[in-house]
Formats: sequence, structure tokens, C-alpha cells
Amino acid sequence: MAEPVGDIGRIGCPSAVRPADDIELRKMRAARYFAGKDVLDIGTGDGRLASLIARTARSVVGLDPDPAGIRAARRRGVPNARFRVSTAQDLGVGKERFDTVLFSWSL
Amino acid sequence: MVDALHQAHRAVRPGGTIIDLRPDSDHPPRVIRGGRAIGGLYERPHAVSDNHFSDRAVARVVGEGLLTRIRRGHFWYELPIADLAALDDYVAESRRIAGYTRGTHALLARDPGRPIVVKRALAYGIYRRV
Repeated sequence: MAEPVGDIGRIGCPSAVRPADDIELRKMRAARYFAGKDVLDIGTGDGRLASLIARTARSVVGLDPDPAGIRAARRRGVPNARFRVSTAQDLGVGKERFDTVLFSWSL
Repeated sequence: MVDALHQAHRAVRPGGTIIDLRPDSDHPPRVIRGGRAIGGLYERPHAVSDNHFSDRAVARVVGEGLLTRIRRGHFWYELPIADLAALDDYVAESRRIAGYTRGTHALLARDPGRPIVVKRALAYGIYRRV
């Protein structure tokens, strides 16, 4: 990843400088790639986008190298989302396969 | 980055989708106050070069025949900032933003307490796994 934890904002949280709502999903017109799908979110940060995707996805796995971000993501308590510390170079997903892989500010 | 794309290719089912979403260095951040664009911010050279490196990595993996592009584009989002001091903090702490474009800070400093909006662009590409 070029910038594993994204663009750190003034409150020290990568997601602080990311959009506050689901604008990415709306602007990309990408709903069809998430609805009912198994989704891998690489660079999930605090799980903001992953939790929005999980509203329609079958399952979401969020990965991020930042343990604090992953802890925050888990605290969201999204039932069909799992989060773990990992990098794009070593996904650690084993034989698990996904319908959609999203690089969230992480390529 | 090519390694990351190869890993993603292995992790996605045949016919599945890979989406690349990241800040768009081709459209630098704009600074808005009172509904008017009054200047901009510029990015650190490493952020711009990393973005271009990522572009080349995607092109390489497409060239390898592992992915086909469905579509790509960019869009803007707004980041509300309380005042000039907060924007100074944001610029100072950002890993991507290097500083203000010429004249921007001077204009903001004439009325430093007013709220500011930074408009940032995100680029995306949607690809199908072959």
C-alpha cells in the first residue's frame, strides 16, 4: 500500500478526512457490486465504508494495518462484518473468496 | 502495488469485481469560503508519485489480462473545516497535503474565524476479474 493508514486528519483518525456519509457509494454507482455479495474491503480504516456496504452485502471482511482502526471498526458491531489487522500485500484470507474487492484509499 | 493487485485477483471469484478508490492527484483540493472558491491546496510530491505508481500498477495488471476495466471516473466531496486554525492543523498533519497554493492563506487570514470547506476529489476504477 502506498499509504497504509490513509491521510491522517487533525483528530488523528484516518477516517476524519474521509467523507462523512455514503457519497463514495452513491457517486460510483456501484451498488450492484455490493448488494447480496461477499465483499473484501482493503484499507477499511475504522470500518465506516464497510459498515455502509454491509447494509446490503451478504458479508464484509475489512482489513487494515492499523490496529486502532480495526478496534474502532469492531466496536461498530455490524453483524455481517468482520475486521482484522492485515495489509494488501498479505491479505491473510486463506482460501476465502469474494465477489467484490474494494481498495479503500489503499492502492 | 502490483503485488496487492495480484493478491486481490486471487481473492476475488472469477467474474467478480475489483474497485480501486483513492484520492485523485489530477484534481487537487480546492478551498471554498462563503460559497466561493478562493484557492487551493497542493499535495506532497510522494503522494502524487504514489498515485501515478498505482495507476501504472493497475495498467500493468490489466495488460497482463487479469482484469478488464468496466469504467472509471472521479467525484468531489466536501470537508467542512471550522476556521483557518483548524485548516492549518489539517494541512500540518496531513500525509498528502503539502501546503496552500499561492495567495490562498493570505486570503483566508483576512477573516480567519469564518468556516471553510475543502473540496477533495476521489478517483475510482471498476474492474472485472478475468
